[in-house]
Amino acid sequence: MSQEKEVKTKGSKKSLQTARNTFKFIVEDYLQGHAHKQEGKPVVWSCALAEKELFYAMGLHPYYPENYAAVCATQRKNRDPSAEKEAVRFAKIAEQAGYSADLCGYQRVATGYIMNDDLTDAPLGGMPAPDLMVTTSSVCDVRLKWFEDMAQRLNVPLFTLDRPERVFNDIRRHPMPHEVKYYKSILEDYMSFVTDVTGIRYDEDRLRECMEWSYKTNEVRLEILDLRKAVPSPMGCADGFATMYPGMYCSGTEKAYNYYKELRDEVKAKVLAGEGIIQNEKFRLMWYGIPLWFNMGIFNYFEDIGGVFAYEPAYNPSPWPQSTGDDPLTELAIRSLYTGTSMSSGMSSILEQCREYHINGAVLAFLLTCRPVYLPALETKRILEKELGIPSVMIECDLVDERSYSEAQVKTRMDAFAEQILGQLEAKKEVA
Amino acid sequence: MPFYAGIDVGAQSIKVVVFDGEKILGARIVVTEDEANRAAQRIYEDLLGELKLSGSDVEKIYVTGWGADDVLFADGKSSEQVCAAKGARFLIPTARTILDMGAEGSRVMKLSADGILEEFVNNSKCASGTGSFIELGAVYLQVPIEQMGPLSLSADGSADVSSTCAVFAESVIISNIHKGEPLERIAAGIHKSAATRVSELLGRIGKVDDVVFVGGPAKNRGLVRILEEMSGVSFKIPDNPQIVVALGAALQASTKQKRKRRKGAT
Amino acid sequence: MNEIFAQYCNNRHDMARKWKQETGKKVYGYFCCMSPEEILFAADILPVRITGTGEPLQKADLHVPPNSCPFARSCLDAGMQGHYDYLDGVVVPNSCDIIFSMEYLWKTLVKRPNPPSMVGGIDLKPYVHYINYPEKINSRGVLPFYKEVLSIFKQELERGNNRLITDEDMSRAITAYNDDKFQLKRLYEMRKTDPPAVSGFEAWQAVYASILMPKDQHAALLKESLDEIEKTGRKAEEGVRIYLSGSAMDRVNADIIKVIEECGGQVVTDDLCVGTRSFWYPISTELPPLEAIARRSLGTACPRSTVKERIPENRWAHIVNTIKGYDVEGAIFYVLKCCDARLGEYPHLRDKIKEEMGLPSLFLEGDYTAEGVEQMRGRVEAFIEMIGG
Repeated sequence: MSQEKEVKTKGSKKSLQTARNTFKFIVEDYLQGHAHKQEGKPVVWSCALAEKELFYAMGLHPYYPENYAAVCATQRKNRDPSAEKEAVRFAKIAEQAGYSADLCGYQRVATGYIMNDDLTDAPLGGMPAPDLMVTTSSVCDVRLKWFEDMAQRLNVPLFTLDRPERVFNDIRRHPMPHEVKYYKSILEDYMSFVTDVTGIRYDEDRLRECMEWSYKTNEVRLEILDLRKAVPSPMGCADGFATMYPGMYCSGTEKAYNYYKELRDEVKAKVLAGEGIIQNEKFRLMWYGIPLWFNMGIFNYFEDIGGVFAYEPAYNPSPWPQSTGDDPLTELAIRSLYTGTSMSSGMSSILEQCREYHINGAVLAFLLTCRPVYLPALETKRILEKELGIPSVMIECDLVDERSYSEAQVKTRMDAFAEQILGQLEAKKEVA
Repeated sequence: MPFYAGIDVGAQSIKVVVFDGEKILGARIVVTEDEANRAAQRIYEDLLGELKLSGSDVEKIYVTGWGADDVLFADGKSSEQVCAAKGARFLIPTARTILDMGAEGSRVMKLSADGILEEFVNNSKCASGTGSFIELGAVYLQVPIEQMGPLSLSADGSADVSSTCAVFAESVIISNIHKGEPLERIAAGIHKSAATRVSELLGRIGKVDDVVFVGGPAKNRGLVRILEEMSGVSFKIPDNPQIVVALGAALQASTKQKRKRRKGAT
Repeated sequence: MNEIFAQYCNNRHDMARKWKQETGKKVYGYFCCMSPEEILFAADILPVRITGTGEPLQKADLHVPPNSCPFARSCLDAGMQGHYDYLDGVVVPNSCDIIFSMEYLWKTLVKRPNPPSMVGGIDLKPYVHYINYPEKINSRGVLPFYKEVLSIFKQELERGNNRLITDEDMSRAITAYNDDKFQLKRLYEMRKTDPPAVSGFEAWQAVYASILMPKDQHAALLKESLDEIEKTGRKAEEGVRIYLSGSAMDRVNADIIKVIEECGGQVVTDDLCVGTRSFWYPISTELPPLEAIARRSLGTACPRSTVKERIPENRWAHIVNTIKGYDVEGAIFYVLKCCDARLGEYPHLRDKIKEEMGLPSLFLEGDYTAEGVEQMRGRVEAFIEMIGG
């Protein structure tokens, strides 16, 4: 029975063929994992920012409860339009057990999912039961506690990749020796952990091979990012978010590389042809934060008045240090430590990106339950206004739980925001 | 024979029960906006008069409820949760879970097999899972509160009145009225919305049969039906559900002594 | 229990200013109980923990969203208002997501006493010091890493204050800290009796004062008070014996302890950072000082940390250590909004405390206001009555 109000949410209209094919890529990846499990091979549950090569190099098929929560945010049970979204069904189970409704939407959905007893009673046939779990300390605390909790509930061994949370400016970007040494020791511990649990031994050549694929993938992804600076925008946020899965979750495989090569070629062709997402591009927006997975249609909202969502800082690759020819674990440690997650690094890079992508305004997803996203939101708004004169608007919601979404409120804010930006552009024209 | 009295000072009404250690001798429910101590005293004395008793016949008076601290003539005080549990268990000895829905707050208590209160949960500060939410709906629909239940039962479906917040729900009720939704469907929607919150409370505590429903809203057949559908329970409802908490206070007056230490964890 | 403790609890800023004026020494603020305050003490600096006001925000609300940690927002607001203008430096460990962000927020929004001295993009005399505290506190490689982190911090202090910190300084600090830990442990031992010798609120005051005043002075005063209590054999009120587990417990939140007492309960032990976690485990005197301090800091059972064990159990060992022997009858969880680590572990701890110790739990969600604490009274009352009969 549906007890909640109906929310008028929908999927997005993607402009790129490759983006439209991603769901197929995800479904195939899920099916491959199920087959992998049936052959008696180990399955790992993990999360974004854990280094994916670590899984492929050890013959583990990874699943991501956070990504699965996003899938649940788009699906209803048995495709019954009167049923609530699966994400909502699972979140309620967790809340009944005492998990606060203020906790991360991903956590509540995934926790409800595993408490539902039958792991297959869920979209895409569910995730296969894990043989082990691997989480990372990077970005948020929730994923430490959430995975600890799942490990206890499912009685599955857990390993935490504790990556030092560095604060640096451009000069100090290169990690210090003790940081590299520590993270390398963690990666070594990870290898022994996997061997203990599964019997699979660490093979340096195999890891190197995976890392070569991910270096190549990262290079292509950076090329795509560069192409996206073009005016008119050849690839917007709808496409950006739709195409993040292979890079975020399958990095280190040939299939991920091939996927982005195809995507790059498609974007490149559009740029050469001067073709944009829409006919008459008037203003370009940045989407700050993670999308509302149940309502990706929001990215097309301004298209009829000439507005495109051109860039999103989330999930995008950053340049990696040159491969040093060190042993792969040292190299991997250095590479991972290049990622800055502090507010200090976030603020300076967001300003730079707004300039590069010719951004006129920002929509800030104020994700009520995602601390790393909502915490810098007000500062981001302030700095964009102060340093670049870029206006922004905030949209309050959960990332997967649509019960906190108010269509009317979002519409009102977005419309007022569009008026503000168009007014600014008009004023600029008059001055010119 | 000693007599005992229990007074439940709710947000809207005051309930008084006089008890002789075995059965209820009399009870009163008075809706009042008067100052709590004065009102409680008056209602209590009126009830004594009706029962032809004098103050000295009553050995102990216990008070409970929202305004308990304001009642100065009581001998002791007990919490609503404990009183609701005691009262319900006295009337229905098989009770294991007790839902107490009041004007301003709802709570669910869980008892062990031998009747000891083990756990309770309260609704959050929000009013949307309480009796006053339904009363507010009655005001907007211009329907007497007693008619809300029957009205909702006559509906062929329900209007969308759901919201996590009573304040927002108000505006949804009004916009439904403007849209011309039939009143009975809105009434059904209001009940459904309140029931959703309450059913979450029942879910959170992991209800065990028998589930007893006490408090004023337990008399609302429409609410009872939708709650039973939603949470999959079949309630046991005492004849006079509003006085159960006051009865619990009277029971406390008759039995309560200085606390005995339970064995702590070592 | 002691007038000076009460003065520090109620007038912490005046007391710190007075200390600074009288001694001519420096005062640093720090966040969280894992901060290596011993090193500050060794440098002849008074470390004081940064806490909030509980008042409506005046400045921070423009910078930190309303649904984030009300405690951290209030701390920042106090800083922005100038309540902490006597601080010469601030230490921010990588504890939770929110405190981690203070590295940026405090640095950007709170006026510092002296200008930075920049050389090649690096501030030689930083006002805000960041401590890269690890999250897996017992992994194989963690000690050498964290020792290096602390050694860098020590160098920053030496450079910033033109003063070397010797091993003798460090050992002196360790002795002072251990003396205070010993007295605090003694205080907690005296709460094992029924009724306890010291009430929950008095004990909290003693712990809170310990993070606001010089440790050696605190230890001496506490010893005096405890000797006196032992001599007179005085007892606190009897009450239902409560284990209090919760978020940062400063002057604002600590009123919950009073409410518990007023409802017939008595907090006898706790899992609080202004409580057992700040003193429970002594610092080793056998090891080189920096390593000993690193081990103490890593041994802090913060809910946000994790461990190398395959199935981590939410600091269960610490919880058992701090409940054992206290004859606890019920557990109250007082968790601030947005305290994700605690919110996430609560369902599990509630069930485990029930299954293994047979104790009921009460969950209270705090909003860091006095009114919020007051609104909990009804539930606390019912919970205590439920246990007490």
